[in-house]
Amino acid sequence: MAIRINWTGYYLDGKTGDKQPVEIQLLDAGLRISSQSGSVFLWTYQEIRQTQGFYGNEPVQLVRVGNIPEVLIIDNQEFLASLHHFVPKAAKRFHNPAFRGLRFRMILYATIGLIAVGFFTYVWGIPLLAVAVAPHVPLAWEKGMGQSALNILAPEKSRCKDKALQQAIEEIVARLSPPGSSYYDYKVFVVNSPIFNAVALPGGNIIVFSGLLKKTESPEYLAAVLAHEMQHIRNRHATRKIIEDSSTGLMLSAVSGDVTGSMLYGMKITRTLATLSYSRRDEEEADAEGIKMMIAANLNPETMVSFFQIMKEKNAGLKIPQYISTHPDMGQRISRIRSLIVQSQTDHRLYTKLSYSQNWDQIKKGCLAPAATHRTGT
Amino acid sequence: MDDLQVQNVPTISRLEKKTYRFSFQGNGGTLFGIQIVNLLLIIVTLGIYYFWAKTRVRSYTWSQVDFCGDRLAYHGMGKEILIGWIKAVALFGIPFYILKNVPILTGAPLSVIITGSLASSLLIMFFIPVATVGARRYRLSRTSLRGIRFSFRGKWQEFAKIFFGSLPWMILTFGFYFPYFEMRCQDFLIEKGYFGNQKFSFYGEGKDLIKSFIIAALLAFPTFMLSLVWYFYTKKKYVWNHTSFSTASFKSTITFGGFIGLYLVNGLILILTLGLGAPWVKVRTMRYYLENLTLEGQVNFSKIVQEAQDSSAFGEEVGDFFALDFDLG
Repeated sequence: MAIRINWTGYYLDGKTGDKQPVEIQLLDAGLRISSQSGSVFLWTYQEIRQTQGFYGNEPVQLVRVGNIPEVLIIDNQEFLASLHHFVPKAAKRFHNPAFRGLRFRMILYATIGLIAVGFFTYVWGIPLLAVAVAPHVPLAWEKGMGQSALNILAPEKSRCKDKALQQAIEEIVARLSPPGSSYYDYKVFVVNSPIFNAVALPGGNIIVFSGLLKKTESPEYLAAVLAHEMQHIRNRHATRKIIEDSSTGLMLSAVSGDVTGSMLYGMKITRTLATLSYSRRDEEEADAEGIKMMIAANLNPETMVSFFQIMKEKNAGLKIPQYISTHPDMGQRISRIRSLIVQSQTDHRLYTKLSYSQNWDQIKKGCLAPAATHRTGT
Repeated sequence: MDDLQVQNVPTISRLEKKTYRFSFQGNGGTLFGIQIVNLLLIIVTLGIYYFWAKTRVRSYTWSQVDFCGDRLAYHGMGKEILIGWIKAVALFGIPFYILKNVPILTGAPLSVIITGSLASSLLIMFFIPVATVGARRYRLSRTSLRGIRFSFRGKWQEFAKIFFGSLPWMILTFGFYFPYFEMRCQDFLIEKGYFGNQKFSFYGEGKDLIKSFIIAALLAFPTFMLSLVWYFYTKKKYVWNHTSFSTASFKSTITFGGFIGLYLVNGLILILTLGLGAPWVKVRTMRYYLENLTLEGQVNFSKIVQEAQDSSAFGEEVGDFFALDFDLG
């Protein structure tokens, strides 16, 4: 390409908005600017900063940095190309239009890169972050979050306060996790509701809905459910889930630049807990650890299998209730639990049963009756 | 090259009334490219690049605003907004988060959660004037045309007076004071604006808009809020048509049909492209407003003298932190 040395443009002295037509000459040391009135200036390349002309349709604007910045405007962008050919070294501080083709490719790569980064962050980055951060969340925070969610999911007046049942549950909890043996102080709340579900909240609270309680044939069945839920708490699955959810929210709002979104995360904590569904990995971990917990408490782990079996039979061909739908496939799950029990080599072990002065059906009734009226009322 | 008409540049001595035109030269494709690269850099830098990204987008959009062949220039720097952001977080963001979230995290009773939430909202209200003025000061001081900087010389205390002084009237009139409030704000925001040593003027009054406002408010329900869109349009046009600079007046020729069409198509673009069309939407909007705007009268550029004003990016980021939109004009 032929290098053009002489150019025309406009000069602004930075003191007024008066635009003066000037002639510009490329020199080795800098730009020689001569106005129609006869004045001549030399701008050395080092003192010039480019402020415009980075995109196809912009005029080139050069500013001479100083107390009062002076401005030079050149409408023809080929000026930049000539400058780069004429003084390649000094011109490095200016935009080079020759690299514009590269820009398109860069954008393309950036788009692909962006999608990849987003995908990896979402699939691996955030869960890894949650695993790393969850163990360091202070117990007080977990309890706080758990309490806020408890107030919403199990309002005071919906809780079943039957003394015999409360006592029976406390015994199960003490058996599974003897006082002083755990970091968490587990508390179980029975809520009058036909929902077939149990929820583990961060910090130690567990909600059991009476719909699930009704289906437990013996206290060991409930112990199996509680052992499972206690493992969710102990392994901080809920806390991890909250971190994952809020990180995703934060990431999305950082990317979109909408910071208000991230401010709502406090409120989202409760929502996350209300619609909590653990990943398959968390469920399997809770099952495996739950079995160990039952064996350690000298309770027959087979009840866990029986409980899931009842659920499986009962729900064959039916719409899958919430409790199971968020959990791994029931058939696979049962065989997994079976093999875990076999691996623990507890074949000839004698388990003690949980026994109370009343029989289990009577104890359960303490909470089921109000639930029935509640149900007909709604 | 585009068809910039250099001969349109106003010369110094003639004093006859002239029509100065605006246009927007940007295109959606370029803006999309800028934003995609920005997005990637924001992610790789874990968000830190956000401030530089914002500056790049602004620098591009400003440079595409053409006034009689001259382009606006943006001189803001990412570092400045980062510092502004840090200040905003320390003075305002942290207290806000504490008030809003600590009651939730500690499982406080509902009454404490609500009180904290209310206190945090009050904090926002207090900072609206601070942020509005700060953002305007920053933005205008970093904008130039023909090498001459703009500036905003209002103080946040003055704006807070208007803001909170209007509150009792708003309550007493059940919100019908709103157009008066808006025009008082505009009056402050425009009258304190300067280009070099010459100021902008605003001579609009709330009483001119009250009729439109009442009609729009009454018809809001039966017209499915369309009347409010009409009011928004009316107000926008009114503000431009009552703003002047030096001895020249702005004139906006936007029409209600054009306005509705613009936003309908914008909405469609956003929906059909799942939001990826945002840069084109921005370009369309800028183009519509600027190409329907003229300045009529006489502007003597040789008499416009540079007068630099200092300003930090504090308000800019306070506003940004709460995602409040301050582009009232």
